[in-house]
Amino acid sequence: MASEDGSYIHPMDQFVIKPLFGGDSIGLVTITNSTLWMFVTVGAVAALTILATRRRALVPTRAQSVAELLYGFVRQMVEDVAGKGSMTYFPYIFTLFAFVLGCNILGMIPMSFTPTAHFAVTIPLALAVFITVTAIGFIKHGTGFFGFFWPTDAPLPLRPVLAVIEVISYLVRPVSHSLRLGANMLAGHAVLKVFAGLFAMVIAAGLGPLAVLPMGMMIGVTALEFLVAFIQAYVFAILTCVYLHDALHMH
Amino acid sequence: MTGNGTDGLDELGARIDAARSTSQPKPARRRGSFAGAELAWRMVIDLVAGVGIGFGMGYWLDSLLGSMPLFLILFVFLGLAAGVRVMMRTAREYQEKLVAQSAGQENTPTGAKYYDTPTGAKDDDTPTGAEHDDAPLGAGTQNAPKRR
Repeated sequence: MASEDGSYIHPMDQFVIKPLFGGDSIGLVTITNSTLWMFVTVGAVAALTILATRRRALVPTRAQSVAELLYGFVRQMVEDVAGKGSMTYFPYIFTLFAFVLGCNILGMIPMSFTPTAHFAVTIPLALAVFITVTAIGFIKHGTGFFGFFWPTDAPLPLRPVLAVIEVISYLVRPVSHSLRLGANMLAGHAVLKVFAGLFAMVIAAGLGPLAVLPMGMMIGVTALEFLVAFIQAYVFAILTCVYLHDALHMH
Repeated sequence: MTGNGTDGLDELGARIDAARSTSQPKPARRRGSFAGAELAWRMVIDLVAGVGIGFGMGYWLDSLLGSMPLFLILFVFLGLAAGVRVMMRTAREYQEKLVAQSAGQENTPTGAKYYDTPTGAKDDDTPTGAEHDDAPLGAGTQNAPKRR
C-alpha cells in the first residue's frame, strides 16, 4: 500500500526509525527518533512525579493532582488485582504503567513517534515482566512453583499432557502481552494515516466537499486512539498485576 | 490549626465525593462497553499465540529429532488447548468480576462506584475509621474557638 510514487497513503512511514545525528547505520547506541521519544517520555514522567509534587501542597496544584491521580490509580489497581504482599512491586508496576502511558500519549502528538508501536520495544518490556514474575515465583515458592504447572485435580495419566498445556499457556503470556500493546498502537496509528492519505487523495482529485468523510473519520479515530492509548497502558499494567498475583499466590 | 485543616479537607472530600457520584455513571458505562471489546481482542490474541507457540515448539522438536510432522501436529493441538485454556480462564475471571460487581452494587447505596467497587466490603469500614481518628483532634480543643 505504501508505494512511493503517486500514492498519498503511506501508513507505515511514520514508524521508520531514523538516526538523529547523522550516519545511515543504526548501531547499539545510536540515538534515533525512537530513543528520543523514550527519553522525552521519561523526562515527562519525571517532571510530573518529581517536579509537580515537589511542594507537596495540601490543596494540590493541577499538575500535582494529576500525579496524585496517577499514583492512586495504579496503587488501587495493584492492591485489588495483585493482592496481599504485592506492594513491594508497586514501583515497578507504576514505572511500567507510566512509561507505556507516556509513550502512547506522547505518540498522539502530530509529527511525533510512538516507541510502543514497535515490537522491538514491547517485547523486551513483556519479557522483563515475564522473567521478573517467574523469578519471583521461584524465589517465593522454591521448586514448589513447578506445582503451578502440575494439575493435581486431574486423573494421573492425563497430568503430563495437561502439564504441557499449562507450560504452553504460561509461555503464551509474554507473547500476547507484547503483541497486544504493539499491535494496537501500530494498527491505530496506521489507520489514522490511511484516512489522512484518503483526505489528501480526495482533495487532489478535485472532489472538495467529499473530503468531509475522511476528515470525520480522522476525528473519530483520533478520539478512539486517545482511549486506546490509555486502555492499552492500563491493560499492560493490569496484566502484569495478574501475573504477579499468580506468582505470589499460585492461584 | 491542624484540626481545622483536616476538617476543611473532610468537607472538601465530601463535596468531591458528592460531585463525583453525580457525574460518574455515564463514563463508567462507556468504559465498560469498550472493555468488552478489549476482552475479546485479548482472548483472540491469546488463542492465536497459543497455537503459534505450539507450532514453534513442535517444529523445534521435530527438527531436533528428525520426525517431521509428528510433534508439529501434536504440539499445534496442545497449543490450541493451551490457548483455549487461557481464554477460558480470562472468561472465568471476567465473570467473577461481574458477579462481584453486581453484588457490590446491591450493597452500596450511593452511585460512587468508580474507584470503590472492588473494595466494596472494605469501603464501609474505612471512612468511619478515619473519622474516628480525626474526631478527637478536631472537635476536642482547638477547633471550637477558631470557628467563631
